[in-house]
Amino acid sequence: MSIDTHTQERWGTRIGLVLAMAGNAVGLGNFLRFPVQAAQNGGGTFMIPYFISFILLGIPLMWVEWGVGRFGGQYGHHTLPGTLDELTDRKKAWAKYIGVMGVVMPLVVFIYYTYIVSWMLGFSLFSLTGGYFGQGTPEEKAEGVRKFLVEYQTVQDGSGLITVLFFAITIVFLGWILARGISGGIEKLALYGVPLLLVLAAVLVFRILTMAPQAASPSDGLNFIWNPDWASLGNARVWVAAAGQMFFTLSVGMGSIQTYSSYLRRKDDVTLTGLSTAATNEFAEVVLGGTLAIPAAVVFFGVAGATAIAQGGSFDLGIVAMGAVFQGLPGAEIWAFLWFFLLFIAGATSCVALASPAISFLQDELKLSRKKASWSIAGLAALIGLFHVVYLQRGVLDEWDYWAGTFGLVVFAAFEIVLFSWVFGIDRGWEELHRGADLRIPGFYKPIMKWVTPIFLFVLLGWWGFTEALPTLLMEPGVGDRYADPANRPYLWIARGTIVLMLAAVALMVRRAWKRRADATVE
Amino acid sequence: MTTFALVFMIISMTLVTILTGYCLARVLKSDVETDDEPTSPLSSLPHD
Repeated sequence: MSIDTHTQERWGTRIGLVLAMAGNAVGLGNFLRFPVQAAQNGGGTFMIPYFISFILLGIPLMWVEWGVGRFGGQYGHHTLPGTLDELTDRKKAWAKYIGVMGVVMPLVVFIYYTYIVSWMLGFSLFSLTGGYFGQGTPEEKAEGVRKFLVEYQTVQDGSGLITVLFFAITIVFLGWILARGISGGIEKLALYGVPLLLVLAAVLVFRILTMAPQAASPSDGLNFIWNPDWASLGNARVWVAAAGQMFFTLSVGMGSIQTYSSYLRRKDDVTLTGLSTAATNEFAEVVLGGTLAIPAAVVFFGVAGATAIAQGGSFDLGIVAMGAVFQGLPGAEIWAFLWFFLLFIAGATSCVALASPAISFLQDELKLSRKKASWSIAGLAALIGLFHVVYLQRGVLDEWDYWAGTFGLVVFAAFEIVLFSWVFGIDRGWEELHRGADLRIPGFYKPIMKWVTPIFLFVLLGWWGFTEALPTLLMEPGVGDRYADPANRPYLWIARGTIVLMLAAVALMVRRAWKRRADATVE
Repeated sequence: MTTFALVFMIISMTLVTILTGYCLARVLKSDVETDDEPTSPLSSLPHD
């Protein structure tokens, strides 16, 4: 086995790495998806399976992904095709093709996520100008924000160019950060961005908790999130929702964590830093994210109104409801700006992580420079992203989000944990995790990694497979609004086909790269 | 807010905050210690 020592890119500081990893994990999901999931699944009752999932699923997967990434980096691999090939001692030819998912899935998510993040940039500026502000009751203001949002997102007959402009600005900003490299771009963004977003969130929490009661009080909002509905604790759907949220919030099963940790040195710690990342994310989610949008919505719309908003999903809460809530406060423009800018920063730090596997893949396998690779991926995202911009109302973004950003994560994580604990071997894996470790992982995590986490994942996969994935594959109208209109189907098939094409293209590149490497070894 | 919800919220937030503070403090401490140590270009090479 040869060891590649050519890698020049490294993280500058350990805190920079932890913040970059935290920036990867802390995203829109912490501030929008988490409160919606908690509200939809029994409030305080949801928190019990949520914390159990954190201990049994989140923390072990976080350690495994940090360890796997650092392991691959020692052999010059910064993405999963090469890393999984090494993890199986190059004896399982299929392993590198499983790793293709770890390049394509984050790229797919990067493309549509960047478009969503560009909405936050747009709404930051519209907040300062009061562009979507209206008159009347909170409900009437919310309706005004919804109308503004739909008009902003609609690209037809020359209208909607503003949405394209903000998308382009976001892509160029992210491309510029990515082209500056690991320590010069991504780490710097994290060093400034993550503390800034935590401060912004803390300021907003203080403002929301000190709001005068209207339809309800802020403490009613906290009660809505934390008061348990014990009857739902026995509901399997609540447990699956909690486990699913743990995936999204920690960004495990994606491929980005492994790419970031592949730039570590062989004896750099992964146990303390991995746990630090998970803990920082939980702080942002449980302490800050749970105290923002839902309590604010309860104050203005009451418990029944907030419940209805939560049923509408993350953007109904984060954009429509919050856009209306801040209009009721003195200094509305500033508070609304802080909220949307917080979401923009949270999304941007996640975007750079999502793009990183594809960029590193181009560097490793096609030998492109960092700049060329970064701008190539930014260009590709702009091109394919336009498909989402133009056909958003057809449901193409939701289609990608389901297959790459939801189901794909669990599928990939299931493969990964089996490869780590069973093929690589838990004893070897345990030793690998503890090389240079600053924190001894409690011994009971060994059987958890070998048995509990894989079983947990396969149960989750089986449940989702039967209840969601199969009906989604068949486009049954009951599982998504986008399937209700038959006219959407061609667009949804194009969306699916694009993912398949991207997987096939990267698999072909992997095949050629390995053949080239084998030929070079023979010569 | 019910007493149970209040107590559950306070305990959860406190534990998460303590865990985060403990981890980040140790990471920051090790960063400072690493800065004080002379670095060798050989220290980053793999050994097997």
